[in-house]
Amino acid sequence: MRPSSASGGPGATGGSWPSVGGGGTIAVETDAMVQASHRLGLAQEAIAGVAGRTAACVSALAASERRNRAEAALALLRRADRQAATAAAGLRTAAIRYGTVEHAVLDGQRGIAAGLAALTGGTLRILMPVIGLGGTVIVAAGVVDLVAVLVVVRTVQRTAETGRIAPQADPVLLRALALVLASLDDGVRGALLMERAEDLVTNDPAGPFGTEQVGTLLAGLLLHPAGGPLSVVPTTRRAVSSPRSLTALADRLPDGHERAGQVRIERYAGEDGPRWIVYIAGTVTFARDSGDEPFDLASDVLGVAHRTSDSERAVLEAMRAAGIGADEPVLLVGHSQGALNAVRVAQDGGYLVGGVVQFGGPTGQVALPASVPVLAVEHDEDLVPVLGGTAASGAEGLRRVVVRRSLPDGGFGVVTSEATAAFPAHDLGAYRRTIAAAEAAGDERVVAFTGSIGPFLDGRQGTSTRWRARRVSPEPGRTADGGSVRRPNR
Amino acid sequence: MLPDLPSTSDADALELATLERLVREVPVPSPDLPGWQSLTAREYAAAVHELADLLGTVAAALAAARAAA
Repeated sequence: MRPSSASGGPGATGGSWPSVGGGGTIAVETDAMVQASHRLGLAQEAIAGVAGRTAACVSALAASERRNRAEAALALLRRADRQAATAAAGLRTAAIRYGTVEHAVLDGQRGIAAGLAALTGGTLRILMPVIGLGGTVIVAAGVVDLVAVLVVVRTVQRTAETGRIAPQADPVLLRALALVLASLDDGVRGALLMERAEDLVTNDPAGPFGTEQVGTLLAGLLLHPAGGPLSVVPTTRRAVSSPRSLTALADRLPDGHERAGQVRIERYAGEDGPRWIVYIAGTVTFARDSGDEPFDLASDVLGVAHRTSDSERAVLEAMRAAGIGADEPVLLVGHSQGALNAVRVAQDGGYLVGGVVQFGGPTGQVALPASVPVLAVEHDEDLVPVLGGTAASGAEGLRRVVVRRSLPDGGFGVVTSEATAAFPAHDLGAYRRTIAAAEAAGDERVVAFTGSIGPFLDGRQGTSTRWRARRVSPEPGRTADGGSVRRPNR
Repeated sequence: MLPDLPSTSDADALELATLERLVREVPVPSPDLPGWQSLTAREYAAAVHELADLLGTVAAALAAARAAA
């Protein structure tokens, strides 16, 4: 059933066409179906055009043998028109159904992984009285070694295929990592003999020992402390026209390294009051000691852990300072950590969120209300989206439209930003190209999503303001880029 | 064998010739569905072949209409 790679609705082979899924992660490649459907649609349009012109011609012909034959041709043309339309629609339906089946397969994978984790944890627990703590540690280390060997074997295989050592961009290992992350809590519960049957079929990041608790613990122990005072100031303001496409939204995402700041807020006056678009940058620094930079690794981990991060607070402060009212529609757009912040703001921010567009965010596990349309763009070779674990499943997961793409050569060989050189599939430029291809393909789910956020994409005039956020501490601190002098505000 | 092209004085025949050309130029997609060897792929290939045959019949019918009086 599976051709070569992946997706939940329309899919992507060879990397030139993205695939679109009804939600979460998807494993069937249906892009060929969607492309064929698209081409059949083009043929049908051409046939319909000729049929219309033929009908006009026939009506102008005098009753004669010629007219009779032309009428026969017209009838056949109309039949061809219907046939092309039916075949195109059938392919689209098949693509969607394959995607649904793939969701079921992925849910099965998650259940198996959770069961294995719980079984491993439970076995270790049961063995402990027999072989003692030392023996249990040795057995546990053996399990870890076995996993490590499997990773090495897979990496060698992949290297032989691609000529490049890049396990961080191997879709198989990334999928396995997502399953492991989503199953850690099952392993711990298994060891405590607390695992229930329903835990195997549902993934609850907020549950006992779930990714949220683990993330909170890690951030607290290892990373820059969060929760201190922030400075969030406007840096530039200018007139703009609102974007007209999803690609234009990607184009406007700020680079957090720029002095203008990590957040961009656009205001557009409307008949019913203002509309807003908030663009949020990704992680600026992965340094453990991130200094005054709130868009750091600690915010990544806290965001996944569903704890308020400094970068999320910075976004909310910028939105408040910009004057966004609680009842004024907001479209949230983010890349990487910005995507996570966008989802968390939509989830908890108290704003009237009219949509979320996200690129490469660890957000699949978060289910937003049905009233918030969500489109996520993810690359199979991108490590970041899997860091939240496996995606939400069921109706909640299927609400999330996912544009997936497998990049040729894992995205390597294409110029990226310096920060994403080792993770080219996470580069914003790569995501921009993917969403542009998805829009060009005309997939109906992308078109429908675009329609759902249509009022934000009407090209009207407004203003754009950039906001720079940084941590404030009483004593001079190091800046996130390693300097000893704090970056001046602008 | 197709009928000869019409004389420029027969406007209807010229239009029918144009329609015939347009039908022949309809961009019928490839019947191949790369990567798929399923019932879907076979049904798709059959539909495309049938569509191509149908358009061929349409073109022939238009040519016959053009040749008719």
